[in-house]
Formats: sequence, C-alpha cells, structure tokens
Amino acid sequence: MEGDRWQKRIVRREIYRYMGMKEQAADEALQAQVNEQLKRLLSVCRVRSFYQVFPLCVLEAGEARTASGPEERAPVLRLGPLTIASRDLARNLRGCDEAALFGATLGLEADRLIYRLGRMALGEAVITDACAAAAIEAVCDELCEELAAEASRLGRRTRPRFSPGFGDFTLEYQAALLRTLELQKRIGVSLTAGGMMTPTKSVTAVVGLW
Amino acid sequence: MVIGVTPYDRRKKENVFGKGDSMKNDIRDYLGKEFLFYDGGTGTYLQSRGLPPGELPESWNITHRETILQMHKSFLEAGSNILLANTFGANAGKLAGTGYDLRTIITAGVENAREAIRQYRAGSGRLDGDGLEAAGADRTRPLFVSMDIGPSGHLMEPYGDLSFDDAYEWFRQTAVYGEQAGADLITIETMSDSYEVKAALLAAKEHTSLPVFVTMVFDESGRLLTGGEIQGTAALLEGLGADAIGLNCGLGPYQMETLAKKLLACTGLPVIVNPNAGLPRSENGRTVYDIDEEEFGRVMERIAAGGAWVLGGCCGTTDAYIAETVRRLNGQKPAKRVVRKRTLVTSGSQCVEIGGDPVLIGERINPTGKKWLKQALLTGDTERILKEAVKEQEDGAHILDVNAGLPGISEADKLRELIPALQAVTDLPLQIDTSDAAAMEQAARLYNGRPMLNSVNGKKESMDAVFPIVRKYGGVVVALCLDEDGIPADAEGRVKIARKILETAASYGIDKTDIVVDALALTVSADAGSARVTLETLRRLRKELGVCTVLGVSNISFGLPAREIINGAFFAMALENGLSCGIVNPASQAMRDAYDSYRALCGYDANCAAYIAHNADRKTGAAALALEGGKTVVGTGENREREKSHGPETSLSGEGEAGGLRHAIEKGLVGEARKRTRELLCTKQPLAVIDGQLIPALDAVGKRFEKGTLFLPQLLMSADAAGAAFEVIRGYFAQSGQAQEKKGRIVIATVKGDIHDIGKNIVKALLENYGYDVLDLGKDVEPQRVVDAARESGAPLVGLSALMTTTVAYMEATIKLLREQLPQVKIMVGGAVLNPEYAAAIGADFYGADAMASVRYAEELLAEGIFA
Repeated sequence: MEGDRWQKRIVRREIYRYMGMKEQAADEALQAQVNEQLKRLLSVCRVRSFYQVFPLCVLEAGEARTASGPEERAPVLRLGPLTIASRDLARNLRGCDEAALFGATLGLEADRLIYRLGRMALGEAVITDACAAAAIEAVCDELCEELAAEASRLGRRTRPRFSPGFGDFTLEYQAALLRTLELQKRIGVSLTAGGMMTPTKSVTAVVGLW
Repeated sequence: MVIGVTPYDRRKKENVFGKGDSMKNDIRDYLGKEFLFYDGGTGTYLQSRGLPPGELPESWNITHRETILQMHKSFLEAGSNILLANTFGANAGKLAGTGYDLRTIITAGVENAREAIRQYRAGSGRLDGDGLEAAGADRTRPLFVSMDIGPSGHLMEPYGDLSFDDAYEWFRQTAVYGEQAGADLITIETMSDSYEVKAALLAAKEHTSLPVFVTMVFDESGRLLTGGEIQGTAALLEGLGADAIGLNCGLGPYQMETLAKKLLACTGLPVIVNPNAGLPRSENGRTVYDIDEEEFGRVMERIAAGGAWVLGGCCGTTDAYIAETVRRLNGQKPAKRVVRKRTLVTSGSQCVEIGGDPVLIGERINPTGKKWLKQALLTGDTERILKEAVKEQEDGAHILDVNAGLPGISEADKLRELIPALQAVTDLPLQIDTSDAAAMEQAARLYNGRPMLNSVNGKKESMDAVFPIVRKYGGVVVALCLDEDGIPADAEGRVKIARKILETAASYGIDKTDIVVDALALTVSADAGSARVTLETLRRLRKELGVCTVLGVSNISFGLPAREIINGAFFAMALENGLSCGIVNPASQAMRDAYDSYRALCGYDANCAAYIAHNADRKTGAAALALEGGKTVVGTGENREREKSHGPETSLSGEGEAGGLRHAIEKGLVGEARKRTRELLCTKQPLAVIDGQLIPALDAVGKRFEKGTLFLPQLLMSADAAGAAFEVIRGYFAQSGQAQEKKGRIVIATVKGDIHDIGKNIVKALLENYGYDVLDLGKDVEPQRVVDAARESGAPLVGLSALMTTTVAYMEATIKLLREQLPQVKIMVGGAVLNPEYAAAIGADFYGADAMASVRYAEELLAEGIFA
C-alpha cells in the first residue's frame, strides 16, 4: 500500500474515535504510537477493490405504517440481479436509475498483523486495529471519489455510499452481494458461516447514480 | 552418485497415496507429447445463456442439462481435449442450504461432460453453424472429463473460520464423488490460498487414483491473495504430488505470459495456462473483457513456445478463443524443458532458498537445556513460545526450528497445537524437529507450506520411517551423518553415510535437492580434531555430492567458557567451507557478526548494506562491552527500541515514583517493567511485588480509565507492561518451585461464527493481571465446547464475546446451553452490538461495557465467595 498517500488521506480523528477517545485527549506519546502503528500497518497492507454498475429500479413502492392500515412494508428494489427490501436503502437511492456495488479490503496482511500483535502487545494491537478501521474507510472514500469523478464525466452524480448493516439494509444481503461481485475471486473477500466478512477489514457498499 | 530426475518423471512410477494408477486413458501419457487444451469460461457461457449472477451454476447440471451439453460440445468442436465438468462450486459448504444434493450435482456434472463427448465422437457436422469445426475436426483425438474443484468459499483458520480438517473433508467428498461418477482427472482451480490448496490436493490424492492438476490465481506481482509467490507455491505443489500445475483466472494472457515464464523457470512439472479474455470492465452491469480471440490466440502461441504444455481459457473466453489457440498450435509440438531443481522451504507466504546466500535457522524453540521452555511446554503456556518465535524472527532468523520433545508430553499432540499457533504469528517457514516419525507426519500434514523436516539419519529404521513422509508431503529433510555404527570419526565415513542416505532417498523418488546434510558439529573440548573433521566433511559434501549442508553450530563449544566467541569463529569457518544453513541463536551477537561479515566478504551483501545497517551505530572496544552489559534487557520485540511512555511524566496519582515498577506499568513501558521487576525480586518476595507494586499500578490505571482520563490503548499498554512483569515473576516462581496463587478460574470465548478476538483478548489480559486463571477457548467456538470447558475446568464464571448482530444468535444459543447443563455458572457478555438490555434479553448475568467492567464483575463475584 502506498503509505504516504494513505497517511495523508486517513482521518486521524477517526482512529481515535475507534479507540473510544477524542484526538485532543491523546498525549504526545500516544500520538507517536498511533503514527508508528499506522506506518507499519500501511507498509504491509495490500488494498484491493472492485466495483460494478447495475441498473436499478423500484419493484414495489412499499407502504408506510398507518394507524389502521396494513403493516409497514419496506420498498423492494431491483439492483442488477439483487432484490432488496429496505426502506433506508430506497431512501438513499431515491431518484437513481443505476447503482455501483463495490467491495474493498485491506487484505489478509492487516488481519495477520493485528492477530500477531493481539498475542504479543495488546496496546499496539488495539491501536493498529483502529488504524485499520480508519484506513478501510479512507479506501472507500477514495473509491467513492473515483466513482463520482467517473460519473461526472458522464454528466451524472453519485449518492453517499450505503452498506449492508446500515438501517434496515440488513447484513443478510452481504452474501448475495459478495456472490454477485464474485468478491472472493476478485479481491479475496469471503464470508464466515456467521456472516462476517474475511479479511475483517473489508467493506461492501451501494453507491447510487443519478 | 545420484542422478537427478524431474519430479514429473518419477511421479508416474509409483503412487505414494496407496491407490494404484487408473487403468483408464491416462492423461499423463500425453503430457509433453502433444498440446492439450482445456475448455473456456463456463460461467461466461452460462451467463450468456441466461444464468443470473448469484444463481448456483451447478444447479444447471440438472435443470438445464441441454444447455450444459451444448456448452461442452461447443468447446469440443473448438478443439478442447479436457472438459471441466460443471462442478466448480460443488462442495458441502457452498451447497449447504441450497436444497441440492452434492453427489447428485457432481454425478450429473461429470455425466453431462461424458455424454457430450459421446455425442461429439458419434457426430458429424457442426453445432451452431459457427464455422468453428476445423480445429476440432479430429473426433478421435484424446478427450478427457475433468472433475472441477474450486475454492471452498471460506477463508482458512486462523484468519477465517474454515479448519484444515473441514476443508479436507469437503474436498474429499467432492473428489470421491467425481471419481465415482467417472471423471478421468481432477482439476483443482482458481485457488488463491496455498493452505486450502494443500487440503484439496491431499484429499484428492489420498482418496482417488486420478491424476490431479492444479491451477492458481496470482496477481500481477506474482503473488497469491494469501501472499505466497510463484516459486514457493510451485515447490509446495510439486512436493504434494500434483501432476501438472499452472495459472488460471485473475489476469489476461499478456500478464500471464510474464508469470508463466517465472513458473516455467522454477518447476519441472507440466505447466498449464488458462487466462481470462484480458482484463474485465463493466458495461451495463455486465462484465466484459478487453481481448478478442485473435489477440488471445497470438499470446497463447507465445506462451506455448515458452514451454507451457496445457492451454485453455477462463473467464470471458468462448469457444472462439479456444479454437483460435488450437488452430495456431495445430501441428506444433510442446517445447522440451530442462529445469534446475532448487532447495526450497516455504510457509504460507514466504519462500526460503537454501544453497546460495546462507540461511539462519533459529534454534531457540528446543527445550534441551532451557528451563523456561520446558516449563512452558508442560504448563501449556503457548503464548510464551510464540513470543520467542516472534523474537527470533526480529533477530533475523529465516527459518525456525520447532522441537517439542519432552518426557511426559505427547510430541504429536504438542506439535499439532504449536505449529498452527506459530504459523499464525510468524510467516517464517518452520523446521519440524522430532525423532518421532508419527509426530513428524502429523506436523508435516498440518503445516501450511513446504516444511523443513529434522531429521533422518543413515539407520535403515530412520530412513524407512522418514522418507515416506518426505515423499508424501514434500519438504526438505535434514540428514544426519550417522548410522547403526554411530558417528564416524572421520570425514570419509560421514560422506559415505551421506551418499548412502542420498541413494536410499532416490529410491523413494526424493531428489538430493530435497535433502540438506548435517555434517555434525561435536564439542571440540572433548576431541581437538572434531572441528577439522566437520569442516572437511562440509567441503566434501558440497564438492563430491553437490548437496546442501546444515550444522547445529553451537554444539562445537559445549564445556567451554564464553561459548559465543568460539561459536562465532566456527560459524564463519563453516560458512567458508560450504555450510548452507546454520542452526543458531539469532540473538547471539557473535553469530550475527560472523554471519554479517561472511556475507559482506563473500559478495552476498551488496554494498555491504546489511553489514552497515547492523553495525553503523556500534561502538567497539570498551564502549562495546559497556553496551553489551546494558543490553541484557530486551522488550517483547514489538516494543524494543522504543520505550516511550504514555501520559505526562509525573503520574497523576503521584504514586508511582519515576524509575519504579509502578511507574513503568502506569506508563506502559514493557522493557522497563521487566527490568524493574527483576531488580525488585533480588530484594523482595514475589507476592510483595505483586501486592505492593503491580496491583496498585493496575488499579491506578484502571481508575483513570474508568474516569475517562486515560484510554483503551493506554490501559492496554499498561496491561502489556504488567504482563511482562508477571512473566518475570512466573519465571521466578518456576525456578523456586513455588506456584502463584490464583483467585479463581474463568472460561472465556468468542462465540461461534465470530472471528473477532481483540475484545476477548483484552478481557483475558486484564483478568490475568488481576490474578485470575483464564482458560481462553479462542474464537469461533461451538456452544457445546464452552459448556464442556466450563464443566471440566469447574470455572464458576464464563465470559462470552460477540461483535456482530448475526453472531449474537450463537451467543444466545451458548447461554441457553450453559443454563441447561450448568445452571450454577455465571455468565458475562460483551461486544460492540450488545447493551445491558440486549444482554439481559439473551439471558446473560452481566454485561461488560468495557474492558475494566469484566474485572470489576469478577472481583464482585470473588467477594461473594463464588470462586471459593
């Protein structure tokens, strides 16, 4: 991973947030530790990402909850081969006729490093884990900027990314999303039996185009 | 003299897996005599016929049989010799919950391909009128149905949730059903993890008699997703008995041409190249590839000229791509190849070559003469051993020797436990060091990579036991120059034994490049000539037998004072006399000096860069002595060279005076904490150190954490420092034969389905620091295992961790099972998705909001007398 570029992109505030504290609360020694762990993390990561754009349409409009009416039903979207029932995703994608699905990962190397540190030096492990969480966000941010730039060349715009697990867009869709993008083959991301992504520092998301 | 044979030649003479070669048309008879062609992309074809992305392609073996037959026939018309049955994703894991039966899907897949061949052989004329007939005109050419085995779809432990045994079992089922359905060979393809491919290859070899071809996905830099590079991966596959190996998917022909050259240069096996139709891009939600059949065929012709014998296509390649490739190679013969074999040892991601630049093998994980390690092995203190391994790596070792031989423990069990644990924290290849052949076999089987095996010797009994293991699992074996008559006193005798060992190895099909001969270093204080004999043996082994060599270097100095001095001198002499690798203590400055100097002097260290890096800041003479004296304290390695404190220099509580143990712990200084503890133990009782310094420091830090003036990373750095102090105290206890009293036992685990374990490790570290005996079951733990562990250990408190909404279900199941079977046990839970209400709803007794909360809860229970 090109360390310098990511060093700049990664939001420090986020690293501290993942460690359960504010950046201002960190003394010099901790800041130095964070910088050191971040540098080491970036030196081992192999970032990979993949996206694909699919047509999007609303299959069913869904129904809001009313006092006497039928039960609440989430709108149903058709996104390429996927059928997704989610009110929050539908709101995010309102007005879009296409959406990009993407997957991104810091790769197995990040997990390896965190695993090893977790057995050798827990303090460093926790800092590295927080750095990795901030790093994968930075990777996603950059990917979304690329998508936006590409879209704008075609006179289109993008919506903020929306991931399984946000609102009522449940994690159950993760498996279908991984299959659709063939993420295991392309970037080495798969699911455990419990539905967790491995490597753990991985993200999938939907980005609406309009 | 041993004659080198390529692994391919010898592979056919025998089958070490206990199954006779197939009586059927054997594809191996055609390799290298004529080009063989795989088919193109199955997914590409099926999607073009309406298979929606995300649908199980293998279901079409039953629901769209006619389409599958058409697909196979189109590739036969194009000139393919090998049809991959549509079974890529057919394994127990992927089919679970789909409603399809594994055997039915596989049988249908193989039979469809067989039927397509039958129809093609019987037929005439073309299929779709595509005009592709020319290439596939010879309907009598050899045709094969290959079982297609793709990846499991899961990441292997410890980073994922698939165990080696489960992966093996899934692949075994698939392979066996494929053979029973009548496949002619097995192709294991699109693999990106060397450990997973080892499971698949072993399963196929052990349970079928079919030839097995393996192709893997490398990225443009020539690495697998899991990090392994081409050379090491090829050596691994060769060692495990693959019949042909190669590349598929991921890249187009141009990128693969470069990688194919690398692969062809390092393997004696037949090479397969199945690229995609270029690189993918997205068009209206469809993936399209950027190279047409013309261009594809052109590059494939070049790849064939470079020495690949088996060619085909992967994603995006249609029958037209195959037909063009076949047409271009029509009438040509495969290129002859000569490959120099190398001596390679690998881990999941690293490859070490022996025989050029000298190799350092870390000797520290061997209990002989090491009290701490004996203790760690006996008490199951794996963490201590892992730390030593990481330290050896940081000290510059290239391979780590692992010996767990100790009276009173099962070496096989211990190695089975240690090897995966070591491979999870170090990426260095390991040398499995045992005289117990059964233990060696089990370790070699479980090992991720191509191990070094230590050792075999000239006794018939030893060779009978060890060579079959080397033959079956691959690897590099250390051969000791001794036999039934003992150790020869002269070089002549030792070389003679080495020759005998090499000849016997050859009869097993083991090449001399897979053997490293130990010339044997014996203590020079007992026999003034012994070093000379060893050095002469080294010279002659290299010159007369052309074999790589190894020595347990420090054996030379037994019984002498200042052993390091003579060890270093002998090491340099041995290297100059042809030593390929030394089993040494990489932390020894004298060894390091000899090694660095030799490399600089003999041209292995360009611009003396390593020498300068290691020695630029070094003082010599009296200053050096002073420095050495001060160097007795080393950190965990992770912390070495950097002891920055956290928090302001004056402690908030003012309790820990600067320079004391309390201060070191409060500031999270690991090395300092260790040093101060050692000092304190000279004058104080261990318990006084614990109660007077350690616990107050931890409490101070814990309180600041709870007040929000100090944060998780700092809390944990303090915990690490306290852990280091406890380690010193434990060592002291062990030496004095006392035992540290524990407050009580607690079982902790990350629940099934969840592989996050930092949170759990934090809880464990803090509880241990507070004096609890924590039984850590690890992550992804079955509910019943938690119950069993709680029952067997008698722990009155169980801690469970889960990070995801999807895995909380398993937490609930675990709690339910605990309640049913052990109603008296208290249960505390924690994890990102939980809160007190949720925790209560799933039946937990306590919700720990943060790391300290679990300690406070345990202390409460302790006060209630629950641990009594």
